[in-house]
Formats: sequence, structure tokens, C-alpha cells
Amino acid sequence: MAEPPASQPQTATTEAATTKITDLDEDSLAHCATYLSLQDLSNLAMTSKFLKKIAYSDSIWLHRFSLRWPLEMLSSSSSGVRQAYLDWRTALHQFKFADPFVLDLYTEARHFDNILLDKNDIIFSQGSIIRMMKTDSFLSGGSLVRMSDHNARITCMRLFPINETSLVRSEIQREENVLVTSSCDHSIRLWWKGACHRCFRGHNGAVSTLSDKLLGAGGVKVLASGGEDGTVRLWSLSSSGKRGQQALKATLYGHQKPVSLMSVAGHKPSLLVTMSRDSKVRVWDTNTSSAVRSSCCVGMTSLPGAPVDMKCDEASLYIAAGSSVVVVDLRTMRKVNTVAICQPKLYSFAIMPSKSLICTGGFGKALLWDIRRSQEASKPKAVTELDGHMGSVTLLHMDPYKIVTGGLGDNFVNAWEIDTGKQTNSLLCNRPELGNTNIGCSAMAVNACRIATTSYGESQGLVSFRDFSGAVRPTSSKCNDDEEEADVWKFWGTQTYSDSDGSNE
Amino acid sequence: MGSTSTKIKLRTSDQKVFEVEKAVAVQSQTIKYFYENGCPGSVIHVHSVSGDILSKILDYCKKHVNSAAGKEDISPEELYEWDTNFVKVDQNTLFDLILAANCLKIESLLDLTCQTVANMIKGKRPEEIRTTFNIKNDYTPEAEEAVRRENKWAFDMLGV
Repeated sequence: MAEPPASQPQTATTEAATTKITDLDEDSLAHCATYLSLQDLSNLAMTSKFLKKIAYSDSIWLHRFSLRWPLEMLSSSSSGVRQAYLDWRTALHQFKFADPFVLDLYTEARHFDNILLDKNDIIFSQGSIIRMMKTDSFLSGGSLVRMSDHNARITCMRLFPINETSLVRSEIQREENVLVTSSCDHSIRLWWKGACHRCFRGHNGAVSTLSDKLLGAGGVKVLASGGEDGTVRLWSLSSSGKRGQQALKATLYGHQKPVSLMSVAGHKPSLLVTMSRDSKVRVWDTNTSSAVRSSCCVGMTSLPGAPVDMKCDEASLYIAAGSSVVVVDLRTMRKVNTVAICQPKLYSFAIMPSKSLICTGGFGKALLWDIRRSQEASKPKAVTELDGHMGSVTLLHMDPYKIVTGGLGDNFVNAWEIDTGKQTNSLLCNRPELGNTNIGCSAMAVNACRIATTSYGESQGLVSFRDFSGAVRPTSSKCNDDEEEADVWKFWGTQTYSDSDGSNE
Repeated sequence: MGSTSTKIKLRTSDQKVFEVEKAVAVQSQTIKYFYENGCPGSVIHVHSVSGDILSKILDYCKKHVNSAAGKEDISPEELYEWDTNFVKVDQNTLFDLILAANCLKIESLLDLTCQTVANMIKGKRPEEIRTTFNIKNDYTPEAEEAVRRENKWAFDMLGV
């Protein structure tokens, strides 16, 4: 009769047995997984072998793939759909696509000093003026915010999580960042949503730099600034009051020359490393509650050559000065080794400790160095050359997927695979409309699949933003050349917006 | 609705027999198939579903059929609220509902229950997921480290 023989062979649940998540079939679990983020899916894979099998299953990744890219782009790879998805994702991060979302913003013809990419904002400064543009709402009219409270050139811009400051008001704002800027007008300002919320005064001269992270663990975080006056100053961001008079926590004396670089140690978040223009390095323990603030200097060293850049990773301090990069152990203050030598001069450097790599910008090319290899050899040898640049590589970005190089002398910025050093893309930064110019790329910010570059000429300045995260058309297997790039521009067009002398601001 | 009076008989794994309005029963694509392809009046066996679970599922189907047919004056918000309360059950029942919804092919119930499980996973670290679902960590330390490395990419950058 109508006895359904096709019923699933699953065992009936009796009163005693309980059904666990591991009793679910693959289809049902895959269905659950469609509601999870990539992070959640990864966490699921890490719980047990069974759930890893589910989290890696083709059906889940086929679904994910189809949400992002046309399925016909899925090559029949033997390593599975998950791997294919990850390969595409990596390719996006490496800018291996010809059809990024492009946004061009024309602004005044003036040098760009700083540029940052926050989640949905491009923030850049020209002289004393900061502008912030929303990238997500731009097509629907968008908003360009002009922030003009500083009276002189802005020297440094940083983003810090809002929950590390006293500005946090509710859970919703947790993920947001505040902007902190230092200026030649002797002040530091803290901005949120385009408005200045704090102003810190105390330096007797231009403020030249800000710490790359906030100091301290847990609740109360401290911002460090370095000035032309040779002092390092510590500011409490949790002090209330718009003028921030009580915010100055300490003034650290010791440097004889203007402070030009600073970085917070990774292994101990109260340790601040500063470097002055005479290449003298000082390490300060900002937790020391001493009345004599100079006594909280816990280490010193000095290097030959002009300071270029400085970064901390855990207890290692990487200092680029003159033509070499030296590693100093912050626990002993001893120079461990020289990891890169870039003759005749070093213009920029970046580190990627998870891959044991550092990159140095030189003239006409950038060099990639393996930190481990330099420990064995007496003289460091570059593992790869990123060759083919015009002029000096002053702008350098490094993340787990790619390296991006740029400089004033080159109209293009170039992207390179981090593991092979192969060039993946070349992006034009200026346009003929900018007027006569010798400027290639004057500032650059990269954040995951997004990049913003600036250039300017006699008549206009340009901020060019590209977002590869929605791109679907891969560049040809060979690296695309200038001609192809030009085609892309014609074919896809660009959304342009003219910032006509601040009229609508 | 002319067929509302038609009843379908269902027999569960624990031999309980349900007499259900056709409109409610055919919410299940599986039952619909057997109804349309079997002899009229015969009993349809739902081998993999117990009486308790089937009774809950029929509640769900009845609610949704009545609301769709306008028999019950219920707003979408109220129905959503009803659904939310419907899945406030112990894990054992929740997983049985998923298995049954999958086997009986009731798409909206499968969506509802799977989303509930997903919400229990969201934002949790692996050890928290294990605790939530009482899962045994069967990785060796080496294997755990390997899978951790394989999944590092998901955490080292925001977005995408």
C-alpha cells in the first residue's frame, strides 16, 4: 500500500537517547552554516574533526562562492571548493582584478601629507585641513567632511579604537575608530564623526609624531606624542573636558633633538620606544610612577644614518636608519643583527613578522628580506627584488597577502605577491587633468582589498580610491601593463566628484 | 478551500497515529509526495519521526497554514514571535526538529531551526562551541595547531 519505502534510514529517537549536534546529517549542518560568518565557520572547524569535515564541505563553500562570484568561474580544482574560494579571496587581497570599484575625488592642488583608510572612510590631510569622505554613501550624494581646527600643517594621523578612549557611549560604537592628529600648531586633536572632541596642548613647538598604538593594558590608555621641542609627552585620553588641560600626564625629557619616530612595544604595552632626528633611540617605561620623569627611561641606543622608520614586534625593535635595518632586543637593548642593507639609501620599510619578512624601499625597486636567513649569514642578502619602479620607493605597504609600493617619481603604484614577489597589478595614481606635474603618488593607504592614493598637479589634487572586494574580472595571467589599465579606465569609467574649493562644506 | 475536510493519517516511529488536515500535512513535501502517489485513505508512515516531535511539527504547520489562509488574525511580527518561542526548546528537541524538518522537507521550519543553531554558534570561540554543544575535542595537540593555522586567515584581516 502506501507504505513509504523511501523514508530515510535514520534510527528513530527513543525516549532514552538524546540527539546531539553530531547526530545531524551533513545537509542540515551545511544549512546551519549558511547563517555563519567566515570567522564562525573557522571556529566551528577548530572544535572537532567531525565539525571540521562539515565546515570544509563543498556544499558550504559552493554556496559561499556563488554569493560572491559567478559559479562558472569556479575551476574544477582537485583541492576542493573551499580552497578555490580561498584562492579567489587571496587574489582579491592581491589586487589581481581589472574591475575594482573606483572613486575619484578632485580637490585642491596641494601636497597631501597623510592619508588613512578607515572602515568606510577615506581620511586625508593637505596642510592644516583634514577631509573625510564616506566611501559607502558616496554614490548616493555622499558626504565630504572638512575639518579645519588645526592652524598649521598636520604631521601625523592615527586611528584608535573608540572603546580605548573615554568617548565610548554605547555598545554599538564599539567597532568604530577615533582619529587623532598632531600638528605644527603645537596641538594634538581627537576627532570623532568629523568633529573635534579634544585638544591637547603642552608641546613648546610643532608636534611631529604620535605613538602607533595606545600605551597601557586594560582600562586607562595613554597616547604618546613627540615634538620638535625634544620632549615626549603622555596624554590621558580618558580625561574629560574639551580643552584637555588635565590630560597631560607626563613630560619625558632626554632627547636632545626633535623626536621623529615612536612605536609601542608588543611584549609589554607600557614600553614606548622613541627616536630623535640624531638617530638616538630611547625606551621609556611609562608605568614608572616616578616624580622625575626622565628616570623612566629604561634603555638607550643609537644608530648611524638618518632615521627612516621604526617598528616593534613583541620584544624586537626594527630600526631603519641610513641604509640598513637593525634589530634590537628590547629586553637587553643589544643589537641582535642587521637584517637588511639597502645601498646607497633606504627610503621606507615594512615588516611582516608572521612571515618572517621585511621589505625595504630603495631607488627604482623594493627588496624583500627573510629575517631568519639573515641570522645565519654574516651579511644579509635579499630574497626577492621588486623591480621596475621609477624613482625612490617612499611608500610601502605590507600585509599577509601583498606588498604595495609607490613613490613621488612613479605615476603608478605596484602590487606584488608577498610569497613570490611577483607583480600582480599596477594602478595609475594621477591624471592629465591635474595639470603639469612631476608628482606620481604622494601618499597611499591600503586596507585589505582597498587602496587609496593621492597625487596633485598645478591645477588640481586627486584622491583615487579602489575597492577590489566586489571585483570579478581577473587580470590576465601576465601582469597587466599600462595599456590594459588605460582600457579599464575607458571601459568602466569612474565616478568623479569635484571638491570645488570647499563650497559645499 | 474545498479540501480542508480531507484528512491524512500519519503513523510515527513509535506507532502513534495522527489524523491531520490535508492542508497542514502537505506543508511537508515528503508527505505531499506520498499522498499524491499513494492510495487514498492509506496511512503514511513517517519512520524517522517520533510522536512528540511530529506533534510539535504539526503545531508549527497548523500555525503557518492558518496564518497564511487568513483563518487566524496574526501579524507577521506576532508570527515571528511565535516562531521564536517555538524554537525555545532543549538541544535534543531542536536537533530532532531539524532532522524531521529535513526528512519531511519543510523548508521554512528547516530555515528556522538551522538559524537557531547558527545563533548558538555565532561569535563563540572553539572551546565555547564545544561547551555549548557538549562536543569532545578529538584533535591531537598537533592536529589542533594545524587546523588553527589553516584558519588563521579568517582572523588576520577584517572584511571579505
